Amino acid sequence: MGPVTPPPKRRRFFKEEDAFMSGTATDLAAHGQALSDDKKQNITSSEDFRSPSRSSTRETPSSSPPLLSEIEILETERKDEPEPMADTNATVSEGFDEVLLESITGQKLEPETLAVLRDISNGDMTRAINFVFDGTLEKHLHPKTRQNAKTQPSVLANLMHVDAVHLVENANPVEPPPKTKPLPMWRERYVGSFQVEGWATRSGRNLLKFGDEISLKRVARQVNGNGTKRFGSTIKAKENDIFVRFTNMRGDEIGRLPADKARFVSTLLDLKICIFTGTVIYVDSNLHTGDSIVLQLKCYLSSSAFNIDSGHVKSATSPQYNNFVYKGKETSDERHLRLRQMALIKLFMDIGLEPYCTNDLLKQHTAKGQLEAAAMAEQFDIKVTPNESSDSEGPESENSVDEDKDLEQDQLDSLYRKAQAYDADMREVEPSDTFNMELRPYQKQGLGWMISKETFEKKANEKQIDSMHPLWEEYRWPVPDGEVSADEPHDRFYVNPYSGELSVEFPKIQQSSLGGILADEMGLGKTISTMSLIHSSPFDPSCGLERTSVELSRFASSTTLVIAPMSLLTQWESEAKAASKPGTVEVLVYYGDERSIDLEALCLGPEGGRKPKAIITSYGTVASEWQKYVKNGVSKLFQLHYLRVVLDEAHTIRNRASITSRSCCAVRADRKWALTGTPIVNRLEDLYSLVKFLGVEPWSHFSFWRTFITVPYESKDFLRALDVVQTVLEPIILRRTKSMKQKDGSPLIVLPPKNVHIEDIQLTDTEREVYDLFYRRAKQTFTASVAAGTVMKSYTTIFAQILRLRQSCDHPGLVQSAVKKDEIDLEDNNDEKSDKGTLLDREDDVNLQQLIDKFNSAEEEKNAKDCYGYEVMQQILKETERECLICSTEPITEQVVTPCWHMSCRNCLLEHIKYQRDHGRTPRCHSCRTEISEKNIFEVVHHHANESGKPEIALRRYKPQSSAKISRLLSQLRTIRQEEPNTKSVVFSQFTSFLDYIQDSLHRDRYKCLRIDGTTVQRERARVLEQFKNENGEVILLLSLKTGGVGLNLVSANKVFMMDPWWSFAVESQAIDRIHRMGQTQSVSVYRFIVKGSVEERMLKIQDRKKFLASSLGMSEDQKKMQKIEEIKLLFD
Amino acid sequence: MALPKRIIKETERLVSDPVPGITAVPHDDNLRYFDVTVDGPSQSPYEGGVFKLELFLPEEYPMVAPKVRFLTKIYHPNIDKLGRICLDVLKTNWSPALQIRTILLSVQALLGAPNPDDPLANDVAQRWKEDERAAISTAREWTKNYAQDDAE
Repeated sequence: MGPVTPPPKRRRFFKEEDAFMSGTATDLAAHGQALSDDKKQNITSSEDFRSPSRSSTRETPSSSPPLLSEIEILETERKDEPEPMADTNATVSEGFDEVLLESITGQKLEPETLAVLRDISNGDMTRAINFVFDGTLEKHLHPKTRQNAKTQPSVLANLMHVDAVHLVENANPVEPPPKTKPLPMWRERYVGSFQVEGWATRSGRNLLKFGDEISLKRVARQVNGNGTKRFGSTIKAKENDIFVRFTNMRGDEIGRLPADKARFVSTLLDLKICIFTGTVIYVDSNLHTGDSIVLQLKCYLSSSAFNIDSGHVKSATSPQYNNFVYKGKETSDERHLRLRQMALIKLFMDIGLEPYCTNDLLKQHTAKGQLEAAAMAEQFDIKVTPNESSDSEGPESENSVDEDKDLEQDQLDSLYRKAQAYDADMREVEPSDTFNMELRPYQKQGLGWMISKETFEKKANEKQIDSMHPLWEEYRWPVPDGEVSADEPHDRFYVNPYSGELSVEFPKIQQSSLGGILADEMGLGKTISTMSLIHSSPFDPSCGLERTSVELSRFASSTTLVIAPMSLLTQWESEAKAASKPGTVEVLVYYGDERSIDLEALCLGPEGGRKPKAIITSYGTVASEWQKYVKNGVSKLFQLHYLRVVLDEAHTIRNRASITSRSCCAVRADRKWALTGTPIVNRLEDLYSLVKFLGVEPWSHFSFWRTFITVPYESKDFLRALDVVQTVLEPIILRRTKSMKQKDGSPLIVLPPKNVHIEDIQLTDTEREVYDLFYRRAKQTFTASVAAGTVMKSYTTIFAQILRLRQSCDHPGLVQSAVKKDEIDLEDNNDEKSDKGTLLDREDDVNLQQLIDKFNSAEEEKNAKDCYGYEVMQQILKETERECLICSTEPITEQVVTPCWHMSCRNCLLEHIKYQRDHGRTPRCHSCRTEISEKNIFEVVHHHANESGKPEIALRRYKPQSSAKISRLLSQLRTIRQEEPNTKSVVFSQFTSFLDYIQDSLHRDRYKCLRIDGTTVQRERARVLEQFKNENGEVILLLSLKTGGVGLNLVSANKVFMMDPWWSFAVESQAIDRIHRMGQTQSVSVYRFIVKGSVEERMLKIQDRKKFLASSLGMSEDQKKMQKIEEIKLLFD
Repeated sequence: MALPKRIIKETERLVSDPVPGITAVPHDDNLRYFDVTVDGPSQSPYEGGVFKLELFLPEEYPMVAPKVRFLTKIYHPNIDKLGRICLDVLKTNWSPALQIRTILLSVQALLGAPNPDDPLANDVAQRWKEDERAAISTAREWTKNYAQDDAE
């Protein structure tokens, strides 16, 4: 502790008053003499000029304390607005008044210093004072070496500290050991001082007097503070406890700091960033609880603050740390960084310390902006915390995110438009000879770009060797007591206002990781491009990356690690093999059983043999290995440092707090690539995870990202946020879309045509009844909440009902549970079998050949009628084409036979029966007028030739199909079978339960059918996809829209059935693109099943509206809500 | 409303494969409306006559029967003054398996086999039952007067 010195003034006083000072400079000069009696008046009027609202507080009379205190009190008031307590006298002087200068600057100036100061300021007092503070004076003076007592080095302490840091790092294998930061050669160093008006928590006489030293103390509320540690104790306080108490020299608690100061002072103390000493400036000798006590606090940065790891909770010894690693609570880490950042910025504002040198980029952003950002994040945290704590890992948790934060499709579009600076003239690069495929021109360009991104760094390194890291600011150490200390080895220090990091070493711009984001639209061949890169851009020993010997010994210099979703592993493997000439690229799938392989020996071993050039693994594997690695330090995957790591479908890591995301970021590699067709799925933060994975400086610091992107975006400054995103993306992203043109004007890829048909579906009567029921319910809810004005509140309820409505368009069975028995009877009362008398009546499904055999064996007993039946059977068996007697269609579609052996189309006969019944007549056969009914007609089913050879024809009792959509699907499939045999079809639905029904119906008609949905395990998926691909004949794949939307390659199919519409066509279109993508050779037909006169039809309208809607950029939350309500209204109009 | 395939097919067949003694030609402006002629069957009182009828296919055809009406005056117990025909297949016994062609053949058959027990024109039926010869003679006369080319 140094002696009690008159506190230096904060330069901020003058800076803030610049306008005032310069505007009234002559005015002040005119006042001339030392102002005694009229100075009060003078100041009051000046105050009025600056801020009229304050003037009333100036009237409180009080005794006249010493001049010095008065000024400080005034400043305190201006800044902090405490309750009015003291008279506001101030002094202004004319000319060059040494005494005043000294009293304001708090420095005893040497005569020669004064002379210099007078010279450079041309005798202007204001400027002179500013020069003292901003360091200009220092420049003009020559080294004056009066060391401050507090800056004495304490080498031993630092050495011990360094050791401790090492221990911490060794115990923490998550991150590669960082290079040891040079630590300052002192324990703490003065950075400035500020005044604060605390308040007394006790009463008494002579507890404190002017000039007394006090110390600050942090005590958790419940703990009774009895220790009076000199520099503030750091008992871990509760999260929200910000109390900072101060004690007198005897250790008695006297009072507390005001909340606004305490907020950051507490953080600084807790995180051991600062050490404070305090002096009493003003105190009433007879102290009462609640009285103000004005303190001058001197702030010293502690040397430990310069090593960020020791400064916050991320220490291996803290029990919280374990929590942090295993539960995915990265946000707590981020929170501490943010608190630290906020506290430092506040402190620097209060002590008036400004950067000596800062980056251009940062100049646009004031400390105020940074604070706003941090404060906003705090509020945001409060809202989000419950969500994040219950955060379950994996993509499913993404669904729970607040919809309002989602990016609108058009915002995304404009973002992509900006980001995709695709230049048709980009250089094409031929892949290496070992690459076994022909690249398209744009893929060669992509290869060129990728190679350049892997080598770019060499040039950049040469040029930018000396530039400061863009995030850092340089500060000069301020000098207390007017002493100049140019000899100090570290006479400046560096602050990262975005992360709150401190450093005494010049922060060089860091080498960014090599690589980027290949964001080509789906189907443009990102996999192939990546394979060509693996072939064509091998390890270059001269790349100049610094490496420690430990790193070198773990460096798999020829291995690329590919991390892909489980479902794509097989696809990667086969494509990797297909793309490589035999023997050139060894591919290893590291998954499941394969994990027993000794990766290390393989990858670090000699060239040739089984040394894998590509290791393909899944996100899940990486995540689980990472967890093991963190726990025990054992993981085959994480022990290596790869040449390259590639994330396929990289948007998988978009939740930055998920294990998946963090584990991928922890993979060590020289070059990092992210492949994704949708770098942003729904929020701008999605992109952050990619940027963090790639290690793009400075954006990989979340605080920086938040300041420049999240905060402007959330405060509706969309355009600015998107602009910044663009600058982030431009250098690292390459995105081509199918619609782009090559330089000769031809499209990038020419796909066979795609025809989208909308199939109007007419619900059956039962279905309509169910639908109407739900429609009435939903409309009632909606109308009621519109009337009550609670639409947004009951949004979820309304949405759930709309979901039911949509399900009831598919199959009444999907909503059966929600229908009360008395409302609609969905049960099939189909049991009674009438019409006993023909051969057909007992069986539901009869093989025709067997039936004929029966006929033959019992020929004699047959009467004429049955002989006719025999004839008909023969005709059916021979597939004699006949015309439908009702509609004249030839051949009969969906042939049915009555018990009296008369044929027609199924629908014709059903219509005939229904018409008769509706007109009060008994349904009779159209040919012989025998009584018939829906329940005893038989469908002729042509089962496809199975393994045993002959196609089988059977008669099957007709069962009314309970879903109009399924009937339509079946009839479409029949048509396809007739017109284009051996076609493969894909059927999408959002509802897996509907897929169940479809599957049953397809099985009944003996279609070969496969299925993948969310529950299908990886091994099964791969098998199913393989089977679908290799199947030679007709096969139908059932896919759930969500599962099928990702990554799959289904080009062997060319018929797509979309069983139900989604709110935005983009999602459907993505699913369709699984089939209509590169490699598709046939024209693709898409059938979208839309129920006529239902919400589905209206959803189409909403889809259209979304397409044509002018940009929603710049729309307010309320406007967006309104838009959603409008959409719902559309549904019920 | 587009014309169902069935109507088109039937029309085409009436032209390509006409029924002897019957013509049916759709109107250009309404393909569901046909001008029909039926020759009186031989050995009937209507022999030698060519009877004009109109035939209209309702919207629900073939679920319901065509509407058929004699335009030519005819003396027949099952056909009234307005030309309306009493024939089961045009009413309850209609079946969608029947066609224009078969219906017109039925009408022609009805001319050859009047059924006074199920009358539509009661006075005619009465007379037919009481004095069949006189009735037949009137029918013949009417045929000559109204259903032969030189009649009008």
